[in-house]
This record gives sequence, C-alpha cells and structure tokens, in this order.
Amino acid sequence: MAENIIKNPFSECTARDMSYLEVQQYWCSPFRLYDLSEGELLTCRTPIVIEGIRGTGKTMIMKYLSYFIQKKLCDSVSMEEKLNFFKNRSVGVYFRYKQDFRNLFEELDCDVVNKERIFKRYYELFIVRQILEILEDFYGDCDTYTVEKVLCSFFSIEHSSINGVCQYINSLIKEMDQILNSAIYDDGWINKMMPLIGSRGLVTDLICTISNDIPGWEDVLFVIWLDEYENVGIFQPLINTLLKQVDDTVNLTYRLGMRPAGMDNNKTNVSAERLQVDRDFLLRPLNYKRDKDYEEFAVNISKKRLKSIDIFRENCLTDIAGILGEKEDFDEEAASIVGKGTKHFKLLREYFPEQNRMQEVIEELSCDEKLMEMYNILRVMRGGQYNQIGALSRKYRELRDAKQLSSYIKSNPIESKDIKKYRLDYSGKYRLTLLYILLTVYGERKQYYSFNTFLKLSSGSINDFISLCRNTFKHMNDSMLEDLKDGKPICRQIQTFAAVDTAEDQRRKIAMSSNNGNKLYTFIDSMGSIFEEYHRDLWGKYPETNQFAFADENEIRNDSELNYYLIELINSGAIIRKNKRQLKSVGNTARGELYLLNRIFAPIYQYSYRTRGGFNPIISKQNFNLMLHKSIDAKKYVKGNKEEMQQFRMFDFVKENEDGSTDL
Amino acid sequence: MVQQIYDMELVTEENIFDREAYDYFLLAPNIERRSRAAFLKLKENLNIDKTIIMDYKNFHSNISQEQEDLFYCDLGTPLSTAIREETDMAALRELTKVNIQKKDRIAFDITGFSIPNLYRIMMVLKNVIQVEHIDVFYTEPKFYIYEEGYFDAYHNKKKKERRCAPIQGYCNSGENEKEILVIFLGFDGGLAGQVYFSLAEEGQEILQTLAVNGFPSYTAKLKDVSLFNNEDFINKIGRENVRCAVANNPFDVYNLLCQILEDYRGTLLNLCTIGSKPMALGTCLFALDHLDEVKVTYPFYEKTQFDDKEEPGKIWRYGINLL
Repeated sequence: MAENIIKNPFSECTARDMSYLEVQQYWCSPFRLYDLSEGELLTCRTPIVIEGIRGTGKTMIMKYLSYFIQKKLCDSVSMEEKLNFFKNRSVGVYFRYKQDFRNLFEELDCDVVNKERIFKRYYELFIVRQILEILEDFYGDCDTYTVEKVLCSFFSIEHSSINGVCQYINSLIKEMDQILNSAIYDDGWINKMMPLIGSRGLVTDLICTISNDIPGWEDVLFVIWLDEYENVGIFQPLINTLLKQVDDTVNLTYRLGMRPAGMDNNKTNVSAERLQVDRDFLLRPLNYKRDKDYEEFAVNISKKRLKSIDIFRENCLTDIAGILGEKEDFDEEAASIVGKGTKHFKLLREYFPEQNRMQEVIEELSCDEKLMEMYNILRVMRGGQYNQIGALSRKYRELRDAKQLSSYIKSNPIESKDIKKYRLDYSGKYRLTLLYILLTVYGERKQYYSFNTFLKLSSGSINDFISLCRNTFKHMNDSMLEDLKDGKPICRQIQTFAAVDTAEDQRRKIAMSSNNGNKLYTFIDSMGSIFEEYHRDLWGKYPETNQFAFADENEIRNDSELNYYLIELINSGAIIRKNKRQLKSVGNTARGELYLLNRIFAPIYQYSYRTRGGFNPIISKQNFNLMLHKSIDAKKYVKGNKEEMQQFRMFDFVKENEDGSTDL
Repeated sequence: MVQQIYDMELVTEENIFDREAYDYFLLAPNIERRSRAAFLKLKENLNIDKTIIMDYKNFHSNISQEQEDLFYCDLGTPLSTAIREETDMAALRELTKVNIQKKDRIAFDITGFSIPNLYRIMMVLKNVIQVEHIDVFYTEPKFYIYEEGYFDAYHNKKKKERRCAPIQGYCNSGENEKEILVIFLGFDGGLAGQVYFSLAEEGQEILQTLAVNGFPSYTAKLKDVSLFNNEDFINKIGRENVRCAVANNPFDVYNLLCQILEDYRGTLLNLCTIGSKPMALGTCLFALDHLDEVKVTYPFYEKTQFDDKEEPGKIWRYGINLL
C-alpha cells in the first residue's frame, strides 16, 4: 500500500488535547442533540453537573463556554461592549482535575483533614492564577492601574502589573511544592505548610473583591468549570461543599463535568448536610433522544473536519456518509461469504440423510439470496416442511419483486398470515442473525463498515465515532482518493481494519488507564466471549444478544468491592447502563437495569452492534466476581443458559423502541 | 589520545584498587545477590568505614527469615547502621540523621533500591546533606529471565497494576505551561503504554510524548525487546518520537535530556523512568539540576518482587560531582 501522504482530518481526537483555538475550529453545537440550554449553562446561578459517558463531549462543551473561547465571540468591540457581553453571559474558568495530582496526596504522611486543606489551597491558587490570566487578557493593552491596585491590595503585595501578580501566585504555588518536596526528609514539613494555608476562601474573596472594587465588574458572574470530577476521589466532599455554599452573595457558581456514577458520595464538609440534586445542583445528562439527531451531529462534525483539509474541500468530499457508504449490505456480504458453496445446507443433513432427498431439498430451498436460503434452512430445521417453505419463499419473492406484498397482505388478511410472518422474520429483523449463522458455518468474520455501522459502534460517544473515522482515514492514499472522487466509498476491508483497531485501542485503554484495568479487561473479555458464543448459535435462538442484567443488582451494590468494580466499568465506558428499567430478559418477570457491553468492542468479539432486546443473560453475583478475575468458559456458560431457555421460541415478535431496545 | 569526559568505569579486578577508601557505603541489600555484589567485591579490597543498610520494609514481605539472615551474614564486618522504618519516607528521614558530612567519601550502590527511593536519596545527598561527590555503583543482572519467551514480558513486572503519581521531592506544579512527557522504556510488556494512557490520555494535557530506548543496550537484543514489548505505545506516539540513550550510561541520558529541554524550551518536562537504573540515575541528576523545569512521575506498585535466581553481572562505577 502506498504511503499515506494525505492529512487525516480526524487526527485531533479529543477536546482535552485541543488548544482553545482548535476547540473553536472544530466546534459543532451539541446543545440541541442533548437538549441543553446554552443560556442556562452560562448564566444559571445554581451549580450544574454535566454527566456523560467517555467521549460524549463534556470537555468540549466546558472549554467552549469558558472565557478563552467566549472572548473570541466579541472580538473587535469596545471595552464597554466586551464587559456587557460577559455580563450577559459569564466568565468561565476551565479547570481539569489530574489523577496523578490526586494520587500524590495519597502518599502524603498527614491526616485527611490536612490533606484536604493542602488540596484546597492548591485548587484555589490554580483557579486564582487563571482568573488573573483572564483579567490580563481582558484588558490587554488598556490601562490597568486601578485593577492592579485592587489586586495588589487584595494580596497585600507591592504595586505590580497583573502579570506580576500572576508571578506572585506562581511563587506561592512553588513554595507549596517545595514544602511538599521537603516532606521526604523533614519531619516538620506540615508545620511549615499550615501557615501558608489561610482559613478564608481565596477564590470567593477574590471574586467579591473584583465585583466590589473593579468598576464595571459588579454584575459579572464567574463560572468555574471543573472537569473530571470523578478524579477528585476522596476530596469530593470538599467540592460538594463548594457547590452547597453557592448563593447570591457572591458572583460565583460551578459546573462539574462527570462520568455516570462519578459521584462516589454526596457528603459535604458542613455537618451532616448532603448535596442534593435539583436543590443544590441541576443534573444535565448528555443523552440524546433521537438517533436522527446523533446522526446529524456526526455528519456536521465530520463535515467541519473534512472541510478543514484542502484536498477534501476542493473535491467536495465532505459528506462522511458518502465516503463510508450509507449502510451495510447484508445480502452482498452473505453472497461473498457463501460464493458458490452449499456448506450451509449441511445443517439439514441429519434431517435428510438420503443423498437424493437432500438434493431435492437444496433445489427447493435455494435462491439467489443467500440470507433467504439460510432463513429457509432454519425454518426447516425448526420443523417446517421443506416444500411448503420453498413455496412460501417463492411466493414471497414474487410478490415482493412485483411490489405487491403490502397490497396482498392487506387484501388477504387470513391467507397471507404465513407470508406476513415470512416478511416480518426475514426482511428486516433477523437478516443480521442469519448472516451470523452463515459466518459461523463458513468460518468467516463479520465486516464492520458504513456510516450507520460506525454510528452504532460508537454507542453515543462522538469521540469513538471520530476515532473510527481517524483509523479509517489513516489508510488514505492517492488511489483511494481517486475512488472517492469517482463516488466509491472507502473499501470495506479498510473500514473493518479501522473498526478492529479502534476496538482494540479502547480495550487496551481501559486495561491500562484504571487502577483495576486488568479486572475490567477480564470482564470485557468474558462478557464479549459470551456474546460471541450466542452469536454462533446455529439455531438463531438468541438473535443479536449483547445486553445483560444482574440477577440481583442490590446484592452487588451492597458489596463494596463489587460495587466499586461496577462503577469503574461504567465510568471507563466498558459497559453502558441503559436509561430506564426494563424486564430483564424474555421469560423473566423481574424488572431492573439492563447493561450493554460497549458496542465499540463488537468487531473483536463479533457480536452485533444493534440492540434487539429479547433474551439477555442474567449474571449472578458469583459470576460477576468470577468474570472480573478470570476468563470464563463461554461455551460452558452459554450451554448452561441454553438449557434453561429451551422453552422459548425464536422469532417471537418483539416491538422495538426508538433507541433500538425493547420493552418486552 | 582518548579523553574520557565523564567518570564511568567497569569495576574489574585490576582497577578495584584505584579507589582509596569510603567513609560510607550505602546499599539496600535484598534477596537478589547482585544487590550486594559491589559491596562484597569492594569490602575485601578497600577500606569501608561505615555501611548504611536501608532495610526497606516491603523487601521482607517476600522472603523468609532464613533468606534474610543469609544476606545480612554476607555483609560481614564493617560497622553497620541498619535503617528499618515503617515507610520509605520515614527511612529517608532517618538517613538524614546519620552523621554524613558534605566532604565524606560516599559510595551508593543503587542496585537494590527502587527507582523512587533512588531519586529521594539523591535529593537528600545533594540538597540536604550537600555532599560534594559520590561514587554510584550498579551491578547489571547477568541474565534477564523471561517466563514466556524473550520477546515477552519481563517476568518481575508482568501485569502489575500501577498508580502514576509524582515522586515526592520532584513535584512541580509548573506555571500553567504545557508538558512534555518523556518515558524511558523498560522491558516489561506494556508498562510504558500504561503510563502513557494514565498521564496523557487520562491525566494532564500533554503537548508531546517522547520515548527513550536504551541503545546500545546491555546485550544486543535488549534494545529490541524494549521496543517490541512497547510496540503499541510506540505506534501510538509515532516512531519519530523515539530517542536513544546508552542503557548503562547516566551521563548520556543527562545530555539527551539537555537536548530535549533545548528543543522544547518553555515547557515542563515530565520524566518517567521505567528503564534501567543507570538511566534513572541520569534522569535524577538532570532533574536535580533543573528542578524548576522538570517534574518526575513514577508508576508506583504495591509490592516489590525479587528474583532469587538472578546472578550478578558487570559492576559499574559512576563518579558524580554534586556541587
């Protein structure tokens, strides 16, 4: 393959690594997608927690609404207009918690109260430094004497420029660093540290001073955007307290970025008070309501990125759906797997041991469409008469090709019962299941390609969608570009490579990034292997099974260790908890939470990226524990479940919801 | 004439007598024979006034009393100060109470120390006691033992879960500048990737990540083992971001870091050494000289594992002026 010389439009992947300029360049508004109000996020005095799984765009939103991007929206206006602009919105200070910074505090040999005081002091100095940088940027070359006077008086230092005050804050941070560093050899380090930590709230006091003493700033709201709240760990009560203390007396409020289940506890440091949703803060989850909106968002994001590269813009190659292909073609995939082979008919050998009879069956059930052949075979395997199925198949094809299927069913409601079922089972719902059976019979692997597939694989994480595109575009060369210009989408093999690469990247990332990465990896591997095994069922009794439920979730919640792992699994994005409680599985009358193994792993374990509902494996506490610690024998596990499930028929009609799930 | 611009030599039977005497010999003996090899070789041939044994608590979790007695017995006669404390930090504070003077002749065998403790002790020697000169000794392992084949994880560190944090003594919050993450590759499968994901993916905003491979390495194949075992990580950061430094030469590492600092002026270097101890020594010396521009991070783990089958290999001496 020729060397890649075309710049990858999807190379900048995460908002975390983007400069403010890049955030602005790649910004596509997600407010409609997530039903968020930009005005509320900017101006609401009540703190807001933005909750979303990895890659949903929390950081992008937080950075976008912070000062250094917002100021670009009011370029070239007078100072007064600029101030008015921020009065009508807010001044956002973006701050990101670093996990390694928190880890440092676990090493310190002092009690939790002192650790918390030191942590808070660092946090305040970092925020104050940013506020000063914002003020310096805001005034630019203008006269800042009054501002400097106010600031220097606040910090009780000699008159200096705003930058000089910033350097003073840097020196305070450095002083703290030095004392922390000296702790390795100095028993008395804590006594040296404590005098540096005042009892006042530095951030609150500074904002009060700015509001009261700097002309024009009296009504400007400061919003502190704290990203990665889950990384704060043991210091969450400290942040909770800050949220709890927000009131109208200070022009200060907070926005937190957090993963689902990111709040370990709602304790505060104020006696027995707890942080309460809808009272102390508003919760705004990043969930989209309609697939269509997510699709549109992905198209717009991709367009912006593709337009930023000359070669794609000049050749009008900015429609990602056209570049990847709109949808998968199951028929074509089935045809390429089967070719001229008849191996799938061998599934009927035990029913028709005689050679001549078998030949007759093959002729009766055969047709040009391999998925239809497979469906016919399956019907026979499940007790249908081969000549009746063959006739039904022919009739169905004839009516469908003549576009008379609907009118026939409508005008012959009783006679058309069989045709109706044939259409229902074959034409949409179970085609992918049939394809998986063919893949199993022929020992082939599923291909993962097309815009629709990438959307589904990304499980609502736009970042994963961008990763899939990035891994696809990294193969781009001149010959592929020529194909695109001719209107041909990027070939399936390359898209499939990209999907597998992305899946492995994500799995590796989870294994590496968490303190318990190996356990999370083991769980993903166990669960993925179980779903893979269900997809290899030649009788298609478990169509596209890729969800699970716990036998008794409360039992897991009450086990601190297992609950911790469950939260880690959700936080890392390995599994996704569905929004509403549902019946756990077909035949199971209990309702509860359903979980999806992130669809991004589907290309590794060869399971479906769609969610069908119906049968879902139920995981006991013991098995959950086992699956975190060692590889499970998926064949044995599935066999055990199959025996329990014998009474359920395949192809039971299950109504799908908008999000692809079912309510049984 | 060949002029050596740094003081590094292989300790052999011939040159062992070049040294006169040491006032202190600092070591952390453990079940691995190489942790004691330099001391045993030197004590027979030159005068060691006092021995300081850093007897770290986590070393004892893996060994029997019998094994422990054996290596104490090995150490023999010189007057010993054994420092045994609950935590590494407490042990270090005890070390500052030993009456070491700045002009004392000190030998420091880094072989048996964990990398974080190496950093911390160097900090104490240079910035607290203000020692002027030390001789650092390092004994290579004779063989690296791979349980699952040469190009697989070095068994001691396989699949350990690590927690990345700054090494205390080398914390630096910086001035809001971007960070350059420099990871010195080791042989253990995937650890560099684990650090990268923890720091660059989940942690701070990293402007650039560089990997440093030990080349030339102790043996010809090792340079490839470290690349092979970190293949995913190298693919992630791009091959053009892999640099080299001689695996057993701290001075080469120091020079490389000077170059990196020059290339990325105005940034904060975040150093993470999971490679050889001499490389860690090089990064440590550099960090001590550039405390304002550097922070040091390490993937800490719960328990140190030792290999009682490991044989001592070559012994190196590095003469270092700390002034």
